[in-house]
Amino acid sequence: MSAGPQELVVDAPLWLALAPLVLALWWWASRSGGAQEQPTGAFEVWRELAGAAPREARRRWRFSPRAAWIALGLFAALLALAQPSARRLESPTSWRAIVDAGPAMRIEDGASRTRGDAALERAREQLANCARPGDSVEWWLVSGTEVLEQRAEFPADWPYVEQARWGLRSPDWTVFDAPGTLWVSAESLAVASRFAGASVSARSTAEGVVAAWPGQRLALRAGQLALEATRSPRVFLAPELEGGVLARGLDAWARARGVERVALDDELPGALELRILAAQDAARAPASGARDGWRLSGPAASVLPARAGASVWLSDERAPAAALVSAGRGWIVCGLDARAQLEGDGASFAIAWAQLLDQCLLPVDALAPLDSLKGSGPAFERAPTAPQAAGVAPRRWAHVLALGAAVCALAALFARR
Amino acid sequence: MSRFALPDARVSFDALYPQRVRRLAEEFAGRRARALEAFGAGRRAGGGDEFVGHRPLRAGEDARDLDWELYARLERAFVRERRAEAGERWAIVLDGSRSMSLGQPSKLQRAAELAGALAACGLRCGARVELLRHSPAARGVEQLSITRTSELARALSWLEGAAATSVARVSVLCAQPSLAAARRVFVLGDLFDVQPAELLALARRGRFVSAVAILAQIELHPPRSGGVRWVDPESGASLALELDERLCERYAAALEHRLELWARSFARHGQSFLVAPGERDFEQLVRALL
Repeated sequence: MSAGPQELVVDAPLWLALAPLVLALWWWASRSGGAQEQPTGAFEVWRELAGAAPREARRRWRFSPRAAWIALGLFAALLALAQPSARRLESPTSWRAIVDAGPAMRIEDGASRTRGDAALERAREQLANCARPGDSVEWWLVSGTEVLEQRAEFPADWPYVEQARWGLRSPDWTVFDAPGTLWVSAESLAVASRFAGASVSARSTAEGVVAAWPGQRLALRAGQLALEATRSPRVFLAPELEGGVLARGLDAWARARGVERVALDDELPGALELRILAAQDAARAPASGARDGWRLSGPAASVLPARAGASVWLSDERAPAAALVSAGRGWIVCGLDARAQLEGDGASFAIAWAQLLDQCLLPVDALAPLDSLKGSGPAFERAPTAPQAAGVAPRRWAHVLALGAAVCALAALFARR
Repeated sequence: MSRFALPDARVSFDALYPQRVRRLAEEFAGRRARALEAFGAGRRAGGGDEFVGHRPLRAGEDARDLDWELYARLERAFVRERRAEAGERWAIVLDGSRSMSLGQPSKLQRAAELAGALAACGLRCGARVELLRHSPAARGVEQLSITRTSELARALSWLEGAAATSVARVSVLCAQPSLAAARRVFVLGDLFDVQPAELLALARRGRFVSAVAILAQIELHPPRSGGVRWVDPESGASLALELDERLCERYAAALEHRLELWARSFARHGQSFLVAPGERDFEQLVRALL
């Protein structure tokens, strides 16, 4: 038998363990303070006898071996019914916090503290209680099944401010239900975990924007929905692309959508709703990419490897692994420049390009679901199950405890009352 | 203040009780008449009073009243009883302390039945009967005096008003001045709160004292095993004990010793003492007393 930390796991509700305590209290009450009261005129006779009687006859409290055996047997029997098992724990243990990247985490309940801040702080305390010296903690920022970022230190700045406009969603919690895992969220959890713990911040009714479109937004203010004016979305186009087919398509889309074209110098990059950048590699080689009945061809630089959340919109026909246009939330990077030539169905190209721009354009304001803004609830906390050492089967104790209960019952039969 | 509840022991006589009492009184009167006849009723005794019979000589009595003829014949000391004595006073003391509520029927009920029967017998032989009991409401004493058999119903009604609610000792009743004139005194109670000497102090100048210890089943035969918290009904004090055979035997011996002490003390002073266990009805007790 190897050494190492172990954890006793009981599948039945733990309050069952209190049942023997109740029985013991009943027994104690019935034997001492609760002894049957009997008035008698011969009280003085009894008192004289008690004065002369040996100490054990006086019945303030007397240990009963039989009752002790019975209580012990009942306790063992109840534990056996609960099917306990001892699992060897990983040593050191790796804990993982799955942090909700959904918009509710950025909702401010007051005092400039977001619900996400409260949930993260609570999770940190909870993990500090679970972890032993030498254990490690990983923090994962997750939207759906997509892991946006991983960190070994406490992520006080998660989720980022700009991520509030990314249209992220809560993790698919069941995918991350594993021993040693803690779910961190600002919304009530719709699914119950089997192994993972949970840390959910308290929620109170808040204000925020629930929908936006160019020039206007719909916001919840003091419990009422209100239509408010807002600025138009802004898009930046890299100078290398000016005058080309991509720039012309962008202009047409911007006019139709009410989007404003700005120079990068005028605004902070984070405040823009879309940035269309050119690949920075100086070496350019002829390349072409085709889809939907059209083709773009011209000198192209290689696009940097895809970042988290990025997708390839157009790849090189000659080298499919090389991306000509890559896109993500609020950005598009083009390997082609203004010299790129369009062949084939121009209308199809315009539609595809407009769809990509729509897809990448961020809302002007951070949006939050109406239910999250209006919903309120208390904080919730559940400790995670410690991860078990791989390859070590849990030791079952039910049969040992059942045997112990039988031995106790046998001992009670022969024990002194 | 006691924190436990005692049974509500009230006295209640059934419909047959007055008949049984009168029958018993008649029996007592007949027995008395036969005794008078046997010992020469109708003879004139000294003092000019009408001679009505003989009775045993009691401690402290004037030896001049001794009937020497009878002594020579029977070798037992008897005195001549005159009519003035027949019109004597009887005092019946009924203990109404809380411990009298115990038993089924309660000790108070049995004491009241005995008191009613004694009162009927006293009235039947011409005695003036004084009934004394603890006041149900306070530590005081209540008293009823009756002289005619027609007043028996009133006495029974008065006895039905008795309650075992007092925390006072029975010796409080025995200290009443009305007992001074009584020729016979009957003390009916469990006698756990009084010593023989306290009652024997009444037996002066020819006064005859009869004490009846009425005990409940739980006092005579306590459980032989298990845990019991004994409670004193008067003081509320309690004592938890684990009963076993050995302890119960010691209790039985202690109780027997106590009752023996009572019996010996009373016998030594020529007084009568009786233990009334639950199964004996009042007729048997009255026959043993009178």
